Amino acid sequence: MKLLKIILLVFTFALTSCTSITLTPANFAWPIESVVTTDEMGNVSIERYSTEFNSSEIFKNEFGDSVEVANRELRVIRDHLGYYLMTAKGFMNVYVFESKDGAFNQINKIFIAKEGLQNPALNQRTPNVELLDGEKKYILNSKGTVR
Amino acid sequence: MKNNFVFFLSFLLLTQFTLAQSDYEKVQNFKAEVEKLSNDIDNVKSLEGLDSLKLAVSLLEKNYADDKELLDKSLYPDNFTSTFEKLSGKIISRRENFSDVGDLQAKVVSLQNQLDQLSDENSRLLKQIKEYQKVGGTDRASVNELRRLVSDLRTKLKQRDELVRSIVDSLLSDYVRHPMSLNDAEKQAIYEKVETGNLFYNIERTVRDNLEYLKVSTFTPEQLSDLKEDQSEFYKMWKRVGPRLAQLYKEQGDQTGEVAYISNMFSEWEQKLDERIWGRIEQAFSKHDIKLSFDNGKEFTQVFVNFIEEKSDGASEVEYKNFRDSLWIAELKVNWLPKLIDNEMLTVEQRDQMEEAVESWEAKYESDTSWYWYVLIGFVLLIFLLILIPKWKNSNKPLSEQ
Repeated sequence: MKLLKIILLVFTFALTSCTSITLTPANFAWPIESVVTTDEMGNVSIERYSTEFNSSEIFKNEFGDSVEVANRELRVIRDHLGYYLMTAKGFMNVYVFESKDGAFNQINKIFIAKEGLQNPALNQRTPNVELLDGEKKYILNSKGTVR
Repeated sequence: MKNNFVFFLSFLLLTQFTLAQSDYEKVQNFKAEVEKLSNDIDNVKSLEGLDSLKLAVSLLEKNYADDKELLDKSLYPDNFTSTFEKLSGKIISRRENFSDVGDLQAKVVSLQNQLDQLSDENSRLLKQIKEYQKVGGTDRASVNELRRLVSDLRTKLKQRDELVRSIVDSLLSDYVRHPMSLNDAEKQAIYEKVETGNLFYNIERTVRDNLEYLKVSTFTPEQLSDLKEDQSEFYKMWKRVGPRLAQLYKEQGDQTGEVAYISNMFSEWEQKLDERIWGRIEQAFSKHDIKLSFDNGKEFTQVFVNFIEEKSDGASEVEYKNFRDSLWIAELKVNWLPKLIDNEMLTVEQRDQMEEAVESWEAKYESDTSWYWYVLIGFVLLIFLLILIPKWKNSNKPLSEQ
């Protein structure tokens, strides 16, 4: 009985120390999109948020491996849940990423238009993100098109 | 017309914003508008223009009021309110500048009137002096009158020099003290200040009149020192202002020659005055039949030290004392050396070198005197002993022998 008490005590202690805490609520939404231009290697830098990454893969995914990645404009916005939505002129899709282990991992690709976006812009409309393309307007979230 | 244009522009922008839907674009447009207004405020040239800009700022604030929340979040580290506070602060500061410039212009105009009056009087005095010199009257009344005129002219010249300096100070001190790069409006303001103060003309005339004054009279060491002090102050002021003005006018081109010409005149003034001062010191030597020639502090020291070394070899003590009392102390040490040092024409080290030379000359006679003293003291002691020893011997004999 005494042994059982000791085992229970150790188990309880171990369980308590392993439990991670959650800070909630949290809002990661950027007030406006960041419009960044790629360098020769496809790198972009979002100064305000001190974020840098290589965007080559996203352009290759849209336009093929032979695409020239230099000097392209990429539009990035972070939604309230912390997902990054990215698109650019000529893209058919909006890409959704999460940041994990020092990389952007794609979690979704939202198809918008076969003919490609002509003049896209991303607006923060918490809990959603608004995608504008000329006269057209789409409401998105990380999971897909809302309407 | 200008105001209408601003309103039209604002209306156009307002219409654009209504159509634009991208938040990013809204923020970028807002930033561009604020930056443009900020630059316009920096470069505005009149109070009326500033009033129009104030109106444009209010309009911008009104136009973007609906997007305040977006802008508050997006204008990091500023926000909507602080952006407009900054613009308003700039407007207030520019308004103060305008009123400062207004006050300054009034002050300069008043100084300018005094200056013109003094310049006219100086011209009249110079003319009168030259006429007197032409007639060449040698009677006491003429000489006294001439002296009075020269003295009047000096007083007026000094007053005018000070006035011109104060005008330059009032107009350009800020510009000279803060070596920042100027925008077009600031450059224009400096050009206007230079024009308002009729600066080039006044400086040039001041230097020219001072050069003329040097020609019309002979001067005492005090007067020359006073003139030198005045010239040095003026030249220092020009050395501060001149290069900055030259730099400024380099871009304009038309007045660059004027700046260089005035710099040359200042050099000439300094050179002529220095010539007079060194010449006057040479005269002090020649009054004692000593012919020395020098043009600057270094030469003066070298020539003087050489002269002392040569002279001390064969001169008698009487000659030395004569030199020391009537020339070295009465003229050089009392009159000239302190003034030369004050006016940076001679260094303290150079004066010490001269003093050492004189002291080493004096030392030659001091050692002779000491030798005589030793002989004299020895002689007195001998006499003393010769008188006292026999007396002492007598006093120590037994009474029977005495």
